[in-house]
Amino acid sequence: MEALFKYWTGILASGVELSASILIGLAAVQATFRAFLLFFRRAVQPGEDGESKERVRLSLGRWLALALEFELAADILRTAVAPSWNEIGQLAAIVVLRTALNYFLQQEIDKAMQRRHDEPS
Amino acid sequence: MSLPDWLLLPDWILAIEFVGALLVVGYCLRALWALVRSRSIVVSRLIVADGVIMGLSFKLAATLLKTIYLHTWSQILMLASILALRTIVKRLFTWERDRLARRLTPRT
Repeated sequence: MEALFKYWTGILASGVELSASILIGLAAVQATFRAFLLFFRRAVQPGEDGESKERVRLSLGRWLALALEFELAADILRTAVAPSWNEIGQLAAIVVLRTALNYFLQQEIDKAMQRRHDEPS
Repeated sequence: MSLPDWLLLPDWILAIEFVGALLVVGYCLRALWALVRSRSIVVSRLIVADGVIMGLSFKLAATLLKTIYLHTWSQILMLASILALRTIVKRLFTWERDRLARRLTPRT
């Protein structure tokens, strides 16, 4: 019974991680497309593009923050199937890493949004 | 005095853990659906945070029940580590959910 539970929990965790990977992949494709558009548009219409570049960066950051939440959800599922100290230690290190990344990414997004809010229109 | 076997407590613990896992996955799927429909990353993140908090509550309940079957120091320390990990992550997601909810609430 326990083996079956661990097996299915492992599959569920892998599924959630796969969703996170797909989100990151799609976000990267979108950001690359927008960056290329920006690059070639600058060549045709030179002008201020600092804000546009930051928009691309922020958009990618938001998608990454969402994917990180999915990854953390998968880590939580894996805490149910970590039988040895080594695996628990590795899992704890990954959780700490992803949590720190999520925190700093969110700080950056909040700062950028604050900057846009404070700028005179 | 140990608990009687007919209580099937280990199976109940597994069932509670699995319900927690299903809740997390269910909310992740709901977040993906909300992302497709509303295209709002904040709403999706809020849904994931809600799901993780709810799933973690079940998993913490199962972890607490497991303390009945602890016999060695190694088992105790391992369970304490998992409990600490889940509690910290739950705290983080609660903070995250409150922050995201404030962003969605219109300022008066």
